[in-house]
Amino acid sequence: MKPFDLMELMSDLPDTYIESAAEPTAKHRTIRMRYILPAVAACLAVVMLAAIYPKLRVNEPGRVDPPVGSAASTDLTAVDPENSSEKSESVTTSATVPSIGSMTATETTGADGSSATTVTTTAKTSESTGSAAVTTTDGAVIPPQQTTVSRPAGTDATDSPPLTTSRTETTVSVPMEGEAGAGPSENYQTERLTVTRRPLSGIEPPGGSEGNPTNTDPQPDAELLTRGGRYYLAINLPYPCRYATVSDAVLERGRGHLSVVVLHSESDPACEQFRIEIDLPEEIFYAIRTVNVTKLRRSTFEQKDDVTLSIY
Amino acid sequence: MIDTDENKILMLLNARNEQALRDAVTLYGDLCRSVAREITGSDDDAEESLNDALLVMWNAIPPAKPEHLRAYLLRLVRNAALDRYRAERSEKRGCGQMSSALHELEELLPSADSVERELDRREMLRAISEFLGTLEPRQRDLFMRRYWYAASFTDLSQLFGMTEINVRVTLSRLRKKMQNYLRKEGLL
Repeated sequence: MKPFDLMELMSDLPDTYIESAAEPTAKHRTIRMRYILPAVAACLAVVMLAAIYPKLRVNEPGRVDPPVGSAASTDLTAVDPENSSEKSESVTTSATVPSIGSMTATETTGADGSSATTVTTTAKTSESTGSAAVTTTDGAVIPPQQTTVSRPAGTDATDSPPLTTSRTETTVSVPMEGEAGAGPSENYQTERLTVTRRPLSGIEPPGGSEGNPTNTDPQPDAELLTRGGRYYLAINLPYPCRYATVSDAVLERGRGHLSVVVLHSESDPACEQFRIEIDLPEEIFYAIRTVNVTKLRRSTFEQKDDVTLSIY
Repeated sequence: MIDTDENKILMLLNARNEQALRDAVTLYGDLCRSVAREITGSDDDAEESLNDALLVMWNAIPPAKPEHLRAYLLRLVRNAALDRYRAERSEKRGCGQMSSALHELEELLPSADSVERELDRREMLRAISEFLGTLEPRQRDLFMRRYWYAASFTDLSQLFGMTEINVRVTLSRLRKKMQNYLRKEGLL
């Protein structure tokens, strides 16, 4: 049989083969598109998620990241077990306290968690108390918010070192067990705006931020734990403490640094605690890499030790 | 849509309405001309082949009732084009009279040979059809487009979204596969 004969012979092939081959383009392109389009869409989604996911973890609505290199910080809502409903309100605070005598704070508050109002609070404190007049930056009227800053009993402006903090947002104190109903000496935070206390800048702790090598005392250790949907930071202290405060939370490039101030209790053994547990939001929990534990003497807030713990 | 148009053309053909031919040309003219042009290599011959096919279809329907009008018309066009191709080659050999004489003598050949050839032909057709049935639709369409529609490699690469080299390689493999199949069937 010659090729031409074969060509002739093929004229009698079934109609279905002829019909199928008459329109191969549309048919096969349809088949290809069926697989290609979802694949392309999935790839795009993955790329976009990969691009924005770090920002999703860091950013909150209405929040602008500070430039790299500055004291970037994020809101931290360490939940007070006793006042969790109140603490769940979105309170974002940016505060600068050059000294205890005067305070300038910028507070961004979203009462329902979905909106934020920028207010400027200026506080002039007396020796033990102060009040804050609240005005909005855009001129809207907001009832003045009374802010009280009290010193612990037995301290005054002269014997207490000036305290400062930089860009602390939603700093929430974590009272220890037995703290509720304590005396007036514990009243050194306002109801909604916590003034965190840190040593004045310029007083570097011995040994720098990585700890005090000259201090041979046992050092605290920290660990991140989850239990039953609860995310928390546990700090085991080698010394008793009365009170612990999360003073600062900084999130830079997805790595979180938490500063905890521990009020060392030397004279009140009834309330001694050797372990602090701080509830954290899940996103903060997973971002934390280091915890700085500052030990303060309760009576004078004098810094005794400052150690940075790395968590991996 | 095509089925509706085909039914309409068939109805017109059965009613002996010449509009059926015009509709058929409108619907399938380009495809038919393309097949005929690829076989004959000439636009004029392609047009003549199409006209021949339309005439055959006009005479055949009724009583013929093709299930797929497009395939039916394409087959007629292809056969007409192959006839023209064969006639052209015979004339180019410079043996116009000799060809006629051979054709006249061919009628005198024993009928047994024709029967045997026809049986071989039918057996070969069955085997090829079965082989094509074993292929994936895409491969079968590629094979048909090349060896039934006589499409060029360039056209095939565009139609199937493949490179020309890929088309050539695929067709080469299909030919080899078909050869093995026909050998297995004892036809080669």
